Amino acid sequence: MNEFKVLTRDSGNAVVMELHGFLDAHTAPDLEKTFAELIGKGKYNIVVNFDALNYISSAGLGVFMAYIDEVRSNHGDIKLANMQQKVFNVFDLLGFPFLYEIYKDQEEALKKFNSQ
Amino acid sequence: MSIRNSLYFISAGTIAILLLIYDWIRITIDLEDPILNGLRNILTVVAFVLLFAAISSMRSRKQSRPLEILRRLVAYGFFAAALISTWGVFLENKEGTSGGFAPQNVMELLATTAYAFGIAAFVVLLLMHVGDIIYIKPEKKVRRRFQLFLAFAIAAAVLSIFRGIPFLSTLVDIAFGVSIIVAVFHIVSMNWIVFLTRKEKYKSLVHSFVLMALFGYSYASIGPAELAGGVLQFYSVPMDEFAKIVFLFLTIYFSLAFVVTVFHIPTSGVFEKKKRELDSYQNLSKVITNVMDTTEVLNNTVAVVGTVTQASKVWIELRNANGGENESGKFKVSATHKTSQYELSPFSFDRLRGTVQVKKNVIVQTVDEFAGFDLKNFPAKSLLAVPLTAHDDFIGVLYAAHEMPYAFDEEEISTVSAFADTAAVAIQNSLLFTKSLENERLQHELRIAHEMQLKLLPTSFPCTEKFETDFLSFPAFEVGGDYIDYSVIDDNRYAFVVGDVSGKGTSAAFYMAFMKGVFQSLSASAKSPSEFMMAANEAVDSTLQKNYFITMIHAILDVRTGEVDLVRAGHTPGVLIGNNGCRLLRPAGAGLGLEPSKDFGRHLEEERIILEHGDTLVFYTDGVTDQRDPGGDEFGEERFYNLLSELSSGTAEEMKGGIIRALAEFSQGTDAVDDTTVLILKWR
Repeated sequence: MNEFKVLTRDSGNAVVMELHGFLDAHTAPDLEKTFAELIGKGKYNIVVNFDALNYISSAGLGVFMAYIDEVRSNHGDIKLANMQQKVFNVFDLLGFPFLYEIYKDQEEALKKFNSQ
Repeated sequence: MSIRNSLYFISAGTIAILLLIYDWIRITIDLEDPILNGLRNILTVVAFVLLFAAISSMRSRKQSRPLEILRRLVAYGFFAAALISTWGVFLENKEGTSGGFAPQNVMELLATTAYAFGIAAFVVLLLMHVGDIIYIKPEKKVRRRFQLFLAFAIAAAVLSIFRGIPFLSTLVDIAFGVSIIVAVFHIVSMNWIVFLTRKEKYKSLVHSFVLMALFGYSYASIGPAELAGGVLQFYSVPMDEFAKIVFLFLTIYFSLAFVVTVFHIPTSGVFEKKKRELDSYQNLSKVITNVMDTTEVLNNTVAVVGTVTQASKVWIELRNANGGENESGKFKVSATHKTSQYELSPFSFDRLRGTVQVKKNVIVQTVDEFAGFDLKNFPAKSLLAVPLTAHDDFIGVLYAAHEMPYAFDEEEISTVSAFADTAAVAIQNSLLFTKSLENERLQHELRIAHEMQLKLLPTSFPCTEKFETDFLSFPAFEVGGDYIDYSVIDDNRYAFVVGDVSGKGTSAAFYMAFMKGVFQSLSASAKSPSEFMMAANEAVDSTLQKNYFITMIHAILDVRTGEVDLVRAGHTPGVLIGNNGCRLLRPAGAGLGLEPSKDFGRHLEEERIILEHGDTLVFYTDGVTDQRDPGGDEFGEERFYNLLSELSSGTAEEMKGGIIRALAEFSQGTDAVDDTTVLILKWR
């Protein structure tokens, strides 16, 4: 069984969400739950750190789509950071760079939030 | 009659004739030899034992219904008493027999013999029948003690031959006494009475009384001072002794039976109820272990509980094991007896159920208690709720309501609980059975869906003198979300499409079918691939759930020039394999359903290539590159593109075969994780 883990921590006016392991149709609900919790608490500035994520499937990509509208309509954003090349390729192929701000480093993403 | 039986009778008859001859000599010459008389008595014992053996082995079957046995006993007892009382009719010498009876002539001798054997036969029949009745539901002890009684009775009978000798005479009396004591003290349990219904007990009472009278009379009539007693005494002293013991025993037994029956009549109601419960329980167990239909199990259970407890309403609530998100885990009235879902619908049993789940059985029987469980106007005064638990799983609640307050006592609760436990297991089993049937049905449906989806794929791809095409498409499960198709736009132009719906399985399959509709309706009217893709995004964006998207690659080939216009909506790149090697076609474009049309159109790029002789164009879905080997390594892009280069000299069909072989070799039986589709177009 491929493991998947989400850790969240506050950083300034944003929340950093660290993804670990495999994100596929089986583990996507875990990530959905985390997003729903953050949004439920009114936290709309979210930086997702992909550093420890080894694999993402289309069902995993769908999770980001499911919450982006709600987050943006509350003047927040989901910013993506620290992607491994392989994971970035998947996002890139699908055209995610048109939809999301993708950063090499999570600090850049956090700076962006803090400068608002 | 068997040979053995005939032998018994013939032997007994022979002895009887021998005795007759001896007796005739005896009365003729007035012979009184104590030794010869002793021998004669022993012979009579042998004759009676033979008679006993013959009669007992003639009985085909033991009776086990007490009243039937009692009826027979009354009949035999009546005949025995009649025989005893009418005996004197044949005799000339009818005076008192204190001096002992002796037949005066041959006729009287014959009558005496017949009489003695007649009494003996009745004694044997009576003993066997009373044995039957004692053996109904006996305790082990009783059985042994009855045999002990018989042993002492026989001992007394045999010893009575020597009554003349003072010491042995005492022994006879002791054996007689002991046999009666053994009989009285150890046969009094009389289990057969306990199991009679009230009506049967009344009948048994009458029978016992009649039997007591008949046997008492018989016993008194064969006393030593009576004529009948004297006759028996003359013919056979042991027989006389034995008959006395038996008649005395029977008198005492049925006097006791009478008394015991009297005492058992008041409790027969309770006993009958218990018996009914037990019978119902057995019936229920039988029914529910044989029946696999949940509804039938439920209906049987409520009906049986309704009968046993005489509750005014009985119903079962079951937890919904499957059903939609909203239905699952909810409790629903699933079977009713003397009530209906409609009648119960205004009441919520949530609070009561919660308590049942924790506290096991709950009885509600005061106004306050009803109010406490939110059941204020419930149309009953007592309500018993028992959990249905199977394998530690709380699957539902069994309710029994009564119009009377305080209607349920401890005993009834334990009965209902026993029913509930048995029913719960049966319900669980039938639910599992239904589930496996349901699974089978779903499998069947999926097979149909699989076949339907195959029909959505083209059966063959176009081949002209300018180009040839071939394709492969395998879903990872029964149905999949990959889409491949083509359409002929006009004489010179063909449209090709490969798509991939995010996710797998049934939901993806529906969107795949949806894509077929979108492609077939839009591709003919769209002037360019980008126009098609814009329209497709519009359709998808307004239809798909937010977390679903579709990637697609779409191309239009002009056969006159070999020009291919191509757009890519988030899909894996097209691969062009030509003389100069492998080139990836990857114009910009987001997946369908990710962006609103305005943004989507802004990001979408169109790429044009011109095919040259021998060029191969390949579109694929990521199921190809995501295929894993047993070690978990991916097939990957590089391996795939190299494979295409190697295969590119062959025909489209050969390339297809090469790809399938390579994937099979690589995976070594590892299941595909995603749907796999490849389109191959070769320019001639």
